[in-house]
Amino acid sequence: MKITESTQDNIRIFRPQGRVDSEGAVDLEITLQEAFEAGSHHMILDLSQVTYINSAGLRILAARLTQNQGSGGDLLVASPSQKIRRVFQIIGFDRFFRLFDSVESAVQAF
Amino acid sequence: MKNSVLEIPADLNNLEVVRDFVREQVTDFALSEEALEDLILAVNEAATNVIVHGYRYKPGMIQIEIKGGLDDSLHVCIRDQAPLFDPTNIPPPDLSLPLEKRPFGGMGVHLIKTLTDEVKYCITSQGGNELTLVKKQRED
Repeated sequence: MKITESTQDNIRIFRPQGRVDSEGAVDLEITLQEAFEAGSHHMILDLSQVTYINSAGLRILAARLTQNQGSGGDLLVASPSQKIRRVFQIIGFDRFFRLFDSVESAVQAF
Repeated sequence: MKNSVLEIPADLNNLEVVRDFVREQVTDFALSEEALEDLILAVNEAATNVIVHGYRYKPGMIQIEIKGGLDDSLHVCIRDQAPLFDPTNIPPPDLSLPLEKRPFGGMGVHLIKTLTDEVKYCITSQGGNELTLVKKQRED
């Protein structure tokens, strides 16, 4: 999985491309874990280039959210498609993750 | 519609083949794009469960059959020879629990049940698992 990274206002922004599922989520998990261990606890996950997410992908994001928030940080989700929003809602994860229409609005929320 | 069958090794790398198969085989069925995406996601979850929890990443085969039901509904049957397990018995997750207390098992089955109109389980004549996902035809 290709993951583009950038930093804005001390917030690490990750933009994965493709599918966040059993096949693709491992790369994302490693990338986010390494950033966390390097001291980045404020993260935005830009899902604008993600076509699909499933329960395995959500499990990985949930673990990252919990660890980030436990360290005083957060993991905000930006630009999910309607399809991806729906998966968050079905699983009930829209209660835990803050979803934003754009990276800019997520940055403002920190 | 005529029945279509795909038989492939149980491997996460083959999920794309499964998704493409579903997409290609239901073209003559009156499903909206959203309903088709829901069905593909549900089949993908079910096949993933077979690979990860059924076969536990060990070699095995998955058979996927797509057929029309008597009431014009679409049936996707997912068959495997992994240890017998009826996922329809898994209770729905308690969505009111805080994240740290949410058991992550059962999320995929909850997705499957939500994204389809009916989920049925039976044991095949060969003694394997058969999970059938039913999607109703669009009413218009």
